[in-house]
Amino acid sequence: MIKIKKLNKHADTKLLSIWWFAVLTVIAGGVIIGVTIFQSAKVDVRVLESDILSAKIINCVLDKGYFNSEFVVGKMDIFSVCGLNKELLTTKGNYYIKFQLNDIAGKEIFPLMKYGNNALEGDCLIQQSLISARNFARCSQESVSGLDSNGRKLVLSIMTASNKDFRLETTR
Amino acid sequence: MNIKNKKGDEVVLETIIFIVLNLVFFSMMIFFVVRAGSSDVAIEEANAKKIALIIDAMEPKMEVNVSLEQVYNQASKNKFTNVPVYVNGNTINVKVKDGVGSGFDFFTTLKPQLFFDDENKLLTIRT
Repeated sequence: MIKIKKLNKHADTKLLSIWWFAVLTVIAGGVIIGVTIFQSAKVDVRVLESDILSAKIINCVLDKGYFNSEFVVGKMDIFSVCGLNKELLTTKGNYYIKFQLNDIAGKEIFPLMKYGNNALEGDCLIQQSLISARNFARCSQESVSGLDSNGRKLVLSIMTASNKDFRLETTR
Repeated sequence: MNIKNKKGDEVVLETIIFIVLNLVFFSMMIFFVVRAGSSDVAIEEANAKKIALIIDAMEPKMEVNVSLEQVYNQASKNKFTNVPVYVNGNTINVKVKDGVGSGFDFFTTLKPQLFFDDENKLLTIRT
């Protein structure tokens, strides 16, 4: 009887160690999967980028509450005046800028201006409908009021989007 | 008496081996997580984006100091002695080891100048 008991105890220990190592394997697997997911996540700065872009344009066209007079007549090249890289913003497909200037009654002051990748506007509209899509562009929408040189109140509505992703450097 | 001692020894030995193996396992896991958490690519990418966004938000004739402590520490760990941050066209590149490094474009047309304070691990950006 004593002999049998001892034998069982030994078997229990062996069984426990097998289970223990199975548990360790599961823990290790979990940690490795977790770290891999963490590592593959990218630093997403697209929202910040689109916010900075719209802030730059607003600060450039609006000075102390007054809109730039050339901007009001639709003759201002925002890229050269605001120091924005036109090639990067309009030809690479990663950005979108749209703005419109209306008077207080909603009447258009100049036609809607659009630059960059038009497809990103759709991304913005989808994001607005509370659907979170990881690879869709991140957008910034703002509306600011100011006066023209005649003291007329105008409203600038601006939408910017960025889908710029991280890349590995290949030169130098 | 002899047999009893032998069995006791075996049990103690088994327990010690079990504990040692567990310690080895958990040490390896902690080492893996700590190493993965401070990976070169993550540091390069995060800093390239941070600096590019700072440049984007800067106005002409502005000066901004950025702490590069993490970059310097990682570069020193990797025994990388070259300049860790440089501008290439309108791209900010960050490198903490030999290799491709990480780059991120800034959309402003300002030409930023970079000045390094190696002692305080600071980067000064002037536009």
